[in-house]
Order: sequence, then C-alpha cells, then structure tokens
Amino acid sequence: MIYLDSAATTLQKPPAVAKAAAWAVNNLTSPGRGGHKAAMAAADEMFSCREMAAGLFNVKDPSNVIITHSATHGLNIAIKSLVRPGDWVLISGYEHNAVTRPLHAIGANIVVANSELFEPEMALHTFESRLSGKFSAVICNHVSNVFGYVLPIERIAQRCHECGIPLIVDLSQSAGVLDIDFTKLGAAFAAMPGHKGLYGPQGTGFLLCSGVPDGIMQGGTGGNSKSRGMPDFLPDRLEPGTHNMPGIAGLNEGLRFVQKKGVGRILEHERDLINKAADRLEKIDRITVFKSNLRDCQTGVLSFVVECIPCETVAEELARRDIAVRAGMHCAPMAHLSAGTNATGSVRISVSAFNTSREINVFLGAVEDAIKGWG
Amino acid sequence: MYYLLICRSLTYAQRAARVLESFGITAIVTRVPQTITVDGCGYCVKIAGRYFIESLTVLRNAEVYPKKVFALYDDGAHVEVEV
Repeated sequence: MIYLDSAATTLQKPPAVAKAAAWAVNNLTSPGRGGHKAAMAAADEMFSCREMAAGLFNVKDPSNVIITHSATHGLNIAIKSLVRPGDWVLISGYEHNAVTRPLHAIGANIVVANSELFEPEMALHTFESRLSGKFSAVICNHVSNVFGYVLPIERIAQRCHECGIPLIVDLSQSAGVLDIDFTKLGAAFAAMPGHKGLYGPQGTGFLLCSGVPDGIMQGGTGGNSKSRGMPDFLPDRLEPGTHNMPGIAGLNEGLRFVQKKGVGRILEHERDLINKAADRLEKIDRITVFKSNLRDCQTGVLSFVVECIPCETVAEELARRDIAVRAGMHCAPMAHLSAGTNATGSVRISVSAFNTSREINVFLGAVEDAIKGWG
Repeated sequence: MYYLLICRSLTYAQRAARVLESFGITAIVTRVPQTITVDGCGYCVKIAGRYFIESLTVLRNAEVYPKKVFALYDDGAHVEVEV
C-alpha cells in the first residue's frame, strides 16, 4: 500500500516503536504504583518520554509535560480549564472539531478570526483587529489539518501576550514537523497527538502547560493517597488512572527518531514531496489544487478537488489501487468554510518521513489514469 | 547512613535524581516508608550521607526543592532534618 494519510495517523513508524510497545506489554506495569522493578522501570520510561518531549519543545520543567491520550484529550483539558459558559473565545477559521465541539458544549460565545487560505498576513491582521479584553481565551492551530496551511502562530502568540489573553495552540499537524519553542511562544497550553508526526502509537499525546489547570478527571495518582482532592501540582493533577505504557514506550522511540532525524530535515523532505505532487496535479484538467505560493506557508499536507467527481469517489478509486488518501471534511468543516470547499470537501494527501518520490509518482499516475477513466 | 529527600511527586523525585546524577551523585528514586509519610503514598530520592550537603546545594541551584528531608540510620531509625 502507498500510504498518504499521515495527517490522520502515521502508519509507517520506526521499527523501534513497535518493538518498544511490545516489550512494554510484558515488562512495564504502572508508574507510581509500587517500588518494584516493573513499576520503577515504567516510571523511568515515562520520565524519559517527558524529558524527550520537554527537550524537543523547550519546556523547562518535564513536570509540565502532561501525557494524554490524544490531542483532543489535551485540548479538552485546556479549553475546560480556561473557558466557562458564556465566555467569549476567539479562534482561527481553520480549527478542528476537537476545538469547536468542546466550545459549543461549554456554551461559549465563539468569534472566528476569518481569513483566506495561505494568507498569513491577513490572518494576523484579523486576529489583531478582533483581539480585545472581552476574550477569555484565544485558540489557534499551528497548521491546518486540511490544507497544511501554517498559521503565523508566533506573531499571534505575541499579540495575545500583549493583550494578556491566554492562548491555546493545537500542534496536531506541526509537532515533529516544525520547530516549536513552547517557552518562547508563551502560550498557556499546547496540545498534540503522539501518533502523527511524533511517530508514536495511537492513544498517546502531550499537553504542554504553563500553569496548573483544573483537570477533567479525578482518580488515583499513586501519591498523596490520603487527600480527598486531586494533587495541586503537575503532572499528577492531570494524569489520574493507569498510564498507557505500551503507547508511551512506543512514543518515546518515536521522539528519538524525530530528534535523531531532525525536524528541519523531515519538513524539507515532506515539502519536496508535496510540491512535486502539487506541481503535477495542477497540470491535470479538472483538478483544483490548494497549494501555497510561499514554501514556508505549507507543510506536507495537500488538498485537491476534481471537478464533478465527489471526493469520496476519488478516494475510493485510489483505495482500489491500494493508495490510501482521505476524503471529506477531515473533521474540520470550519476550514472548508474558510477556503470555500464546504460544498465539496476535498481529497487530502499527507506525507511522512517514510514516503518516497517514487510513491508520489505512482499516486500521480493513478490520479491521471482515474481522471481519464471518468472521461 | 542515608538521607531521604521526600518529593511532592514521582516525577519531581525523578527530576531531582536526574539533577543529582548529572553531578555524579548516586540518587535512587524509591517509595517513601509509610512510617514517614503523612499524606499517603509517595516517592523520595535516597542518597548516601556523604553527599548530603552537596546534594542540597546542587538541588537548590537547579530550583528543585524536596518537601521534607529525613536522615535514615543504619538501624532503620529516621529523623526529620530541618533544611
């Protein structure tokens, strides 16, 4: 199979990831739940994972790296600690349902900083013109999961800082692909999954915290057992229950891979592949490609639509040829509203460090062939 | 003789141990004896008596602060140490 759906989950992982996860099943128990060898080995593995993430994202204290089940889990913690019913929240026009659904559930007043696709200056200007003291939080993703569009998050963070408004950043598509300095960013929270650009197993993620938020779950933490309430310090406050040790051990290896290979090299590789795909897709009749003219403005994610052919039909035809892409709304209808693709959705390809130029050629050949078949 | 540096969490104890080890001080993360703990289960860093003063200095410089410190004698007795 040619796998071009890494924006959902990277399928090809470094071999060490599966080995570590399998080893953890039989060798690691619960960190913080005993002083025996298997519990302490689990504690060492988990701390190593926190340290790796703290190093990669420049978080001074590994205690502020919370291990979550997913970016959605982290975003829920962040949003529910900052936003109360009736609060005003400013978000970008490219947010995922992982952001908008919790906000709707809380009953927040949502203001969307709308801007056109691949127009970072416009995005910044829109945020600047809307920012005011009435907002309890600003939420912005770093990279659109539909279009690979890189939003100017550092400058948006700076404006939020100047206005004293806490910022939540969704790093789902940028972690492991773009340089991220959490301390410099000055965001209140940043959430990311482990199973995309960090090459960990599903069911893993991180929430980077600048403070101690309220949790959304309560339970055993292995410490302060006689207290009725949750500990008031991190990471314990946000990590009740038994940890996903196979996932964490695998994620640790994924982080090692990213650190060793280098975020910059991974990004350049993915951009080269996506540019190659975009350049040839643009030459095919009936195809509209959503490609930025600015190389820095897009990562290894590319959407396109085929005139008069539903995106699901395109994806099905490619799947029949053993090429995995994603079609539809990608859980981000707001992004489609912003880009004008709400009626059609899009076909999305997304690459990882493991994709090759040859695979892109095969994909492009398949698209050209399919288009001919549709007449 | 050993010293037990009681930490607020397992992660904090691991962080303290990492700092100490980076200065060549052997530090073992272990459970806090139930005879010492007042708020339920917890973790501490165990260090040899000869490293005690140096350890406190190293941790303070790294802004890592144990919650409490106990001296652990060879006969198993322990006494809280004011730091």
